[in-house]
Amino acid sequence: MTYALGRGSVDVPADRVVAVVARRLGLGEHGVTLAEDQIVWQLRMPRVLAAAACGTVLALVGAVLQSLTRNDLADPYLLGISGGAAVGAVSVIVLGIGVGGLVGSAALALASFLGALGALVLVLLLAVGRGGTLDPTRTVLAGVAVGQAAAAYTSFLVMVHGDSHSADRVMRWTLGSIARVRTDDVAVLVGTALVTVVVVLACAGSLDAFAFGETGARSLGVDVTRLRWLLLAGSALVVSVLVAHVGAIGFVGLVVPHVARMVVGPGHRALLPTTAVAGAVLLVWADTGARTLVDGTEIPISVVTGIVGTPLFVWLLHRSRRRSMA
Amino acid sequence: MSGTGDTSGGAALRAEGLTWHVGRGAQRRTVLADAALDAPVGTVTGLLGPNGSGKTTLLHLLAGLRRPSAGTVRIGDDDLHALRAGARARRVALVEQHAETGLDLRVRDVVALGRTPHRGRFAAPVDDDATVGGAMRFTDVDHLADRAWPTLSGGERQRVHLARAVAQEPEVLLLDEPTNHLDLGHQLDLLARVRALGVTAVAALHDLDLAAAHCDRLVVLDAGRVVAAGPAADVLTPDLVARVWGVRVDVTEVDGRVRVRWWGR
Repeated sequence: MTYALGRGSVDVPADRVVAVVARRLGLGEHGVTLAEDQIVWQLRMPRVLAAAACGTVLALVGAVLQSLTRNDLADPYLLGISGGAAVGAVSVIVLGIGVGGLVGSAALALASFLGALGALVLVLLLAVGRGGTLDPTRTVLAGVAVGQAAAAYTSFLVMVHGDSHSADRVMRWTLGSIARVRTDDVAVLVGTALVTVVVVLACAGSLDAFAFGETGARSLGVDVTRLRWLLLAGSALVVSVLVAHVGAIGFVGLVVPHVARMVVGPGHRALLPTTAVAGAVLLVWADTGARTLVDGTEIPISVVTGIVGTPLFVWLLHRSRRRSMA
Repeated sequence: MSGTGDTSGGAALRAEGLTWHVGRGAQRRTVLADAALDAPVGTVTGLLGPNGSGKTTLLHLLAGLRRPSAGTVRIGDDDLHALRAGARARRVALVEQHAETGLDLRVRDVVALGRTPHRGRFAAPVDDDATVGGAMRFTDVDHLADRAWPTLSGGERQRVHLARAVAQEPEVLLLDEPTNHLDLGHQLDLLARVRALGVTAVAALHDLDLAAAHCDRLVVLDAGRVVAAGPAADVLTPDLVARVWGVRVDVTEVDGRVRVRWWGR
């Protein structure tokens, strides 16, 4: 984190970073200059916090969905949320629609949040079964269907109405970026992350009980219907908040839970905290990479998570195969 | 309130008029019709019947996993379906027929799942490890505590599941064909352990002779209806076995024990 705060177009040494943070936390003056304070605290700190918050939420939601659906491929965008958000965002970018009198990035955030909520409502309406039960497989299928419809709409809009500039903006939006997060949004993201952590950790025991399937969980006293509503609808909601602010950041929600599972095992009491921390660290690094790897350009963060994450994942897969053969 | 695992403690289980339909309209099928079951405190009841006669459905309703289309289940003086999920799971445990997992869990973790209904949201009661250890010793799987689930044999898995149910400290223990895939020695062993636990138990079984030897009472299901109930000597008549299973048997009583020998269809 210190490294992430120090690195950038202007490098600040680690000890100066510590000094800036210490001063801001009321731990002495340390002769901090105005420039150092501006760069570390005002410019980079919000971004690092936002990255950590997003990483935590994405990784936790991924872990929860994988356990709930008993599907290794489940990730936060499987529920059609990112597709719905893209519908809102692309409408603003391409058609230049203002939302509630807002224009520019505020309109973009609001539109993508509304789009995500719309997708969420649609997915839940499609997925909900008789007697108000929420079946994970139905939910995922509904999410995929809504996501496809949303993708069709956005592609159509970009093809028919878009110029090359808006196509570029759409692509950047789709790949996700923490660059456009404003200081006021950081509080929202960090708050979302804290709520997610508390709720998910409170459900750790119940998620463990799903090891032997739904009947097993029921016989251990888990209110399966209520838990699914809480976690599926809750996941969709927090991902909506995220997508509205930073777009769709891939790979974290899919891979981090697997990595954590290989390291600490499948028990959720250890798995969930590990997943949360690993997700935060990965995204802080990835964001640092996004703004420093190529001088003068921001690389989309999904590109970085893919580049960093894939070799790591392949190595862990290889290691676990060797171990299971031994 | 709850039993303490290896000492006796239990509650009577009494079901009346249990009915379960699946499907709707013209597709509707009755899996269980007006089934009654009476299991006094501390007894072992054998649930018998051909494949598809409704044994699993009845056990799931008795476990409170589903709300019956009609009928009631009482545990002690309480209506089982009025209890909250957690309170219900502290009193009734179920050993399922095919409970498998793809997760790389250790035996100790699986047995500890039985403590789920006794745990708070964040903290575990302090005696959890002792209870889990006791349950593993009771079903003789303590030497497997650190083994991974995928490495266990069928008989070991069944004993781990029983240990999980014991760790749940239930008043009523329900078992769905617990002797499936076990060799004869392990079948006798498992039923002896259930008996030694001292709680009220209901077990779905296929082997009539085994059921007669280990159960205080038998309940026979055929096509979703209870066709006979009571002590083995009253229930297992050649007539009934021929009607329900279509098999010719001899029933004899040797030293007060009912023996069932089959001859053919």
